Amino acid sequence: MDGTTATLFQFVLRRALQAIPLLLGVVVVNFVIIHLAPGNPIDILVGDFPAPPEYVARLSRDFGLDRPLWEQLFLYFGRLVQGDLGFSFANRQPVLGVILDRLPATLLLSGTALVLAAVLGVALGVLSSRRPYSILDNFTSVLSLVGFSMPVFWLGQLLIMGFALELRWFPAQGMVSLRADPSGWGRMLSIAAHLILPALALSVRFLALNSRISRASMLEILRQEYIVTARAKGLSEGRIVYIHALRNSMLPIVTVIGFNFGFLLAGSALVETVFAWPGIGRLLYDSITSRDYPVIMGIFLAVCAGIIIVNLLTDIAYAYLDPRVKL
Amino acid sequence: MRSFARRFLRNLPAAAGAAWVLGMILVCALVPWLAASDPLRVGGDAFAPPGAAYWFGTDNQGRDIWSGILHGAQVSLAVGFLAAITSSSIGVAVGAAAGFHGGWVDSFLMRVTELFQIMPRFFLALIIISLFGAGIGKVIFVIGVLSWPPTARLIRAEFLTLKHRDFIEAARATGIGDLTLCFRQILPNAMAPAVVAGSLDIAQAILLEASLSFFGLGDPNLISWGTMLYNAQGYLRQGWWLSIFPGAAIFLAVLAFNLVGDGINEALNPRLRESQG
Amino acid sequence: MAIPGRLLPTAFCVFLSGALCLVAAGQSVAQEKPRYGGTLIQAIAPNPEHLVTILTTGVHIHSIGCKVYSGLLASRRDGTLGPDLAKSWEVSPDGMTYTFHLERDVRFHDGKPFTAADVKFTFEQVVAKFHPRARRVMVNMQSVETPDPFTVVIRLKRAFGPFLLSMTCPESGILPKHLWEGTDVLKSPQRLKPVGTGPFMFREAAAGSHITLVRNPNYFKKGLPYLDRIILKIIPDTPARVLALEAGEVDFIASYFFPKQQFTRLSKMKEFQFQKDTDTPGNAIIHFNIQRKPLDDARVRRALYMALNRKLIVERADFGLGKEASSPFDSRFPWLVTPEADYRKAYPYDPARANRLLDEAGHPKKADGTRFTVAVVYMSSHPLLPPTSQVLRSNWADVGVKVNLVGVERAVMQERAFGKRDYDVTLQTYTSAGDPVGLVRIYATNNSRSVFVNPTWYSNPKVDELFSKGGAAADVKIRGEYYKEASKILVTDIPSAILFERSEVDAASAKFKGLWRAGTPYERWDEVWMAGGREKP
Repeated sequence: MDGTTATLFQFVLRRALQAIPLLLGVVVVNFVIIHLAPGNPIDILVGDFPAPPEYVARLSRDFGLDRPLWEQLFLYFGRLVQGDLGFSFANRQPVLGVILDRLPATLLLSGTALVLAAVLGVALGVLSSRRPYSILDNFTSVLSLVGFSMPVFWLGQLLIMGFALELRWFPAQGMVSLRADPSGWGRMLSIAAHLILPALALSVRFLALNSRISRASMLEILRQEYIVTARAKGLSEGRIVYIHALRNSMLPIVTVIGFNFGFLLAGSALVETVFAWPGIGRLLYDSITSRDYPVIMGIFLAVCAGIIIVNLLTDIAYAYLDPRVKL
Repeated sequence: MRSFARRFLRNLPAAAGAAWVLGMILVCALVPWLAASDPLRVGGDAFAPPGAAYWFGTDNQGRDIWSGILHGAQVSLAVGFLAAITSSSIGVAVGAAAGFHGGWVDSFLMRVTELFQIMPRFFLALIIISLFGAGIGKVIFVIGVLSWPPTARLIRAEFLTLKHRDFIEAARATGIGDLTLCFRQILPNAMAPAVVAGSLDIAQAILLEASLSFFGLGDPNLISWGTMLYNAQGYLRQGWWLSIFPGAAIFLAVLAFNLVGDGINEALNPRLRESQG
Repeated sequence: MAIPGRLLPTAFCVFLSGALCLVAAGQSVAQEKPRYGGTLIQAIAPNPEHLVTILTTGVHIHSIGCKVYSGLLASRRDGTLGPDLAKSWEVSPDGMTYTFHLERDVRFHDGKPFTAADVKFTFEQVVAKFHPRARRVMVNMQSVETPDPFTVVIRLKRAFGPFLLSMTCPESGILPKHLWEGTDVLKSPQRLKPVGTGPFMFREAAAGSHITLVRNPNYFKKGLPYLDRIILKIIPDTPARVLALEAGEVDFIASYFFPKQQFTRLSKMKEFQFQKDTDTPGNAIIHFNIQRKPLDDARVRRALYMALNRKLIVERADFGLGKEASSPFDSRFPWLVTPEADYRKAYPYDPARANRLLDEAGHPKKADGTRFTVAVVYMSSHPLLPPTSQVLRSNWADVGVKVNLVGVERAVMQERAFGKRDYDVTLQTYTSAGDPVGLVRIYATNNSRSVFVNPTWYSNPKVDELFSKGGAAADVKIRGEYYKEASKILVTDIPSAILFERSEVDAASAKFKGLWRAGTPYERWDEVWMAGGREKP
């Protein structure tokens, strides 16, 4: 292990240790909120009929709802340590499995949106920074303003009305056509066609941020001495932009993505609703209405852990991209 | 102050944003005269397209969308301002206490801030509002209570730098109490970033309220733009006007507050604008 | 988004009696020769937690499970019962003993033979212990005997007219004993990999996405089923389900999952077919909390009901499909309808008269134009009640009654309306399960705080007595008299009132034939076929 790796390792370890009390706090906050709320999950578990008391008691016992709250919390922690997120009330299967079933859809959607936003946003930002106040530059500024204030769910509805219902270019909802070849290329193509509109809707906020920030940082960097020197040395403009400046403007973009990870998840939940995309956001909402406490707790914990990990990765990326930053 | 105003108003987008905000406030005050009809009133004329009788058309229940947009402005602005005031107050209090006191108070409060920062606001709000039931008061409270950490961090940073400035040390030497020092001397000098954050918070609160309503969690006794979009989701084919008008209203309101926030920021820090080209 | 169809207050079929005779006779299907092949995609919601029909009252599970599991008997659209796993049956003259003769050449999907032991196991070990609804019928069983592998004899403790109704799927989808015996029923892996004797076999379940069933080539009815595959696509969003139907992504949406507001528009398109009344009669109800002022005064309740434009409610909440209420039970039980107890005559929509009545009852309009405020509790994710509440709010505002709408999530609604009875007015939907005995719970004295019963505190011994007589008698003529008598009291007292009679409608692609054979939401679909298919399996 060389010096850098050792520092990185120590850094990750330190941050992981700091994360533990935070995650415990998250679980406690969430647990308290859920159990303070009116209504009892047992009512939903039992169903729509006047159930005999012994049946209710039996269900309560099976799901551990008859124990005192502090004991339920304690047991939850105990299982958590062993990597067990509990047993879903509504799905009657382990919570981890329920979440893992839905996770790929959300990752696909948000990942595509981020890539779309990074590629398009940086391209727009870089291009417009090279010709400030040109038509393209003005377009980019307007786009970044609009994109930042656009409610994703409305944008989603507009895209559906325009491209799915009116023009019929893309499917309006769902993730894959069941009529398509259920495997192989047909399936991939079908998913891709379903993915375009929701990913576009979700990406717009990030596209706006990225284009704005990459434009600003490009402008700043292009004015700096070493670029001026490089220019003087006769390096071609293209090389200057792509080699020197671009790498440095990655820094703020990484930060933007790190800072806005929460927005990404929230936006994803809304977009999933508009497009009936079977992801985590939908699952959370369904779990709330069916009072599936273990799944609510599990999703919330997973999302918070995700945010902590993304923050950590952001810091590491920072150190990697900017040699001035020490871990 | 005057140069601030001049700088702000010379910034065209910011001025436009401010004008839209003022326009919305005016509309809210004049709603009883502009849209006399009850926006929740179910009418016999469902899906009427925009026209002379109904400027923005009617929805599936025959409710007037124009009236809904105007009344919805009241809800959005109320949520925006009150939630931002709540979050700013908490943020300023926490930030000031942490920055001024330092030591264990600081590290404890910063841990709490961190805890609130890693919890996804929208998901938590969704859980709380759907479990405890819809209601505008609850929405304001929840958004306010979940949005303060950035303000707290800003104020804390300001306090940390201001605390040891000469004029503060001088004031301290005259023997005034901590609280007076805090509120009279440091806070006024630390407020600028809080004001910027506050106006951006309004935009975020409006958006968050609309998002919650879009999940069907709006107050059923009030009309809200998000609720109108929630309702429109089922009728995208029958009437584009069910979605276009409330969506545009949310978008423009959020845009206006974002522009104002950016404008204040740039007017306070003239260098910022230059550095951005 | 509403979670449509999520366990809508469904049937509470305790003392079913009489026949399921109310469903209009099915239209005659054109005499075409059925074809083989094809895939039918049905939209359902929510994601089923398991697929075992006898462990739940969830319609989404029943509509899948009843294609995989078979009952002893099967419902038919004309209201009678036909054979399924039992090819014939006898009832002893005293109504205490039921003998079923089983089909002999039936195999489970895993190849193991089906025998009477499976029936005994299913009834004794699973239904009687775990089915939330049918267990109440099953506790009435004295014994289940299997004199030979193809005969089942069930003896009851008390005679019970509608017993045979519980012998159909979903209440008696027979499980394979060899796979379930000794397992923890609530946690068995079999819950999600059902093995039955039905026309379709379970293939795969992709959580949150779809469930695939494939043709059972060894189905005991030779030559059936016609379809190759049935896919159950999980689409939690109501609007999304309709978009999918229109895009041809989905072929069938059962009434529970079909947003009725789309009916008028879609019914004009020839690509689709519709079937109304695919479920037993059900309605939407308003309950008044008669312990609270001013609702303790029947005059106030009558005025409030009179102020409601029920026709508009039907149009906006049931999209013109249902009918303004007339009887305190349901006009689709014609034998209990009487003109002497008709809401439309007693309380026609008349805001002016309602205003007068409220004035007379001592609730004049105050300076701000209102008389009093009532809190209306309802389930916010229900498809029909939020629009109903919106019309109610407008109508009552017209007579100076201010409404505070309390739209809450399901568990909170149950606690407020039924558990704590903390409401002024609550809106609910109930279904009859095929007989008015399913509806008497709206008015019968009840102190149990159970869900979906009478939460109004109304208690009238005379009415209770009429109900018990009406449930016990055998002849509908006699039963009708008791219910008519009760109707008159209930229309006058008006502790609760029916707002409208719902009509459920299924939507399907026109390509498929033979979709509606049972008249329940749990069709077996062994005789469904698709136009343009193959001659041979």
